[in-house]
Amino acid sequence: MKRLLICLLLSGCQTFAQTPLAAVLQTPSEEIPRTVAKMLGISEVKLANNALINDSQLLIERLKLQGLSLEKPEVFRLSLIGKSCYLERMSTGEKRELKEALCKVK
Amino acid sequence: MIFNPTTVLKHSLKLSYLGLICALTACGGSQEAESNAFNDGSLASSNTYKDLCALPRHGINPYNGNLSYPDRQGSLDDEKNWVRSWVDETYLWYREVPNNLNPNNYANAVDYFADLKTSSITPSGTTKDHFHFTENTEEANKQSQSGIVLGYGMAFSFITNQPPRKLIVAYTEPNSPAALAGIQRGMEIESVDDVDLTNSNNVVALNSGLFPTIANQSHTFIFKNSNGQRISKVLTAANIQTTPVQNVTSFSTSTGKVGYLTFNSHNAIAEKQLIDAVDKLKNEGVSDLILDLRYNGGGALYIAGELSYMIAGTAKTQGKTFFKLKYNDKTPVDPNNTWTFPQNSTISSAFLPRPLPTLNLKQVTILAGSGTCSASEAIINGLQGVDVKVNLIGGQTCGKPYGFTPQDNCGTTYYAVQFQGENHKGFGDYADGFAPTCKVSEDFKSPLGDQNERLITAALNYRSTGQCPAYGQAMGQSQAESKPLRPAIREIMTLEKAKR
Repeated sequence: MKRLLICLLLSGCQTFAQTPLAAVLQTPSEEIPRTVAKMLGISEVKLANNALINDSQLLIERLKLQGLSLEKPEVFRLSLIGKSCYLERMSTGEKRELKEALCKVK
Repeated sequence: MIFNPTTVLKHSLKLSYLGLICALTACGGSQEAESNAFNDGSLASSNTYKDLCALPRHGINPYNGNLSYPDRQGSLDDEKNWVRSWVDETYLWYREVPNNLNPNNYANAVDYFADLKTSSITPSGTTKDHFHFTENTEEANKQSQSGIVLGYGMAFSFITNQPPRKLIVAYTEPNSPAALAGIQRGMEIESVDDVDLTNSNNVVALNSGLFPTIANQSHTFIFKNSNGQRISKVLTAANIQTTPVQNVTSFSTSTGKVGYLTFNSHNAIAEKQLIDAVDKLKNEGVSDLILDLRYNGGGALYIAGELSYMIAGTAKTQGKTFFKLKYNDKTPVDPNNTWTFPQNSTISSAFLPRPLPTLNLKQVTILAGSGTCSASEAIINGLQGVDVKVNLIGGQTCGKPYGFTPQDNCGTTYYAVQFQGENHKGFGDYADGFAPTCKVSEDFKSPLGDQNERLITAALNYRSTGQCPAYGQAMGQSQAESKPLRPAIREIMTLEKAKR
């Protein structure tokens, strides 16, 4: 049991010590809009079919962008840490591991 | 001039509804004296009535961090009282609001709000405040990936919006259903789902085809190309990823290279595209720029500031004001109300601060028209404020130096003008728009970015001779100008809870 705990701790350290790499999706995933909406605290968000396929950065703004808005967009970034894929909301630093989406290094 | 998918037709329809509503509710109010405190200057704070609703919403607000709705049980009078007090506290022209409107003459707070505004007119005789509106709060709070637009990927210009109508494709988005179907700038739309666009009164059918509200809807269009040939196409609506910066190129002239770019929307994805465009033009060694804003109805102010900086450079803009927000005299002065010219990118700087490239120009030519609004006009005004010479080619811009901090109450989002934007010299009075240096009408015969396109030709000609083309003036007089039609919400400055 003690060995297992040490192993877990070590692997955890190893994971977090790894540098996040900018990532993109291998295929479109429904997990992305769900996760973005959850992180924004809204019920839904409209994304392009190819969101995060070619770019590791996702910019979210008001659907009806006003004629002169003083707002700035929400920025999300996809990254790989080890073999795990994470979506990070840059304004808050909140990071969520994706369970379904398949990522690759950009 | 342009309009994007929300249009003259929609507008006409809305006016029809407006007529009906006016008939039913004695639009404008009977302006009777009333017994409550509305006309004696003793308005209570809007906070007193905030979220007191005749029909409070219950449960979780899906657009506010999954918190509960703030609504509490109140009355219709509470909602009207909130509207009246809030307008009095924040509206830029609160002194010009009629104080003798009887709220009891209005069926709801939204109708009452519609009349709580100035009736002043601009020097040209148009209504000073045609930006006063409301929207369902859930609609107002929806969010999407930057640049996503539901439609076919084609923008239109109305030459005439009343029968006999004439609707022209102004441009298409790359890889959109319209572009993939071979639709090109200059094609005229003759019918939608067999409904004659020119003369039909079936506005509902035309609107439903032109402005789809659901992805995967298909509609049949008859287009007429420049040779008079009729082309039938079935287009299926989709969530299009738009490309706000297009046609980045340069023209060789005897006095150096002149850069050109089409810039259609101040959205977040435009930042990188603008940086890439300026980098490209800088590498090509341009010494002048034609910035095509004729279809740009505005958007994010920070994008306008960045582009202005990239045009003018550090020496002209260092420490100077790009845009200053001027509120009514009841609003406390906030130092954050002054926006300087940003020297670094906004989005990229979240990871690695990136200095913006600059062209360091002393003059710029902007292609403009009545579709050139708000944030686009802020570029014109901001550059003029730091003594960059701005030549305008095309038509009068739309004239929207105003903006708001929208406020939600009981499921409605209210938009009342709360600030006016000023440049470094303190100028912001362009409610009638900026007049063109050379008035030139579009001919839609050449692609955007083509040296033979009429506005570009006129710009290059003016640059080399200082003369406006005779045909531009002649066309302006003989041919009705095309009209954009966007909903007011897309064209007005918004200070959305002022987060910077």
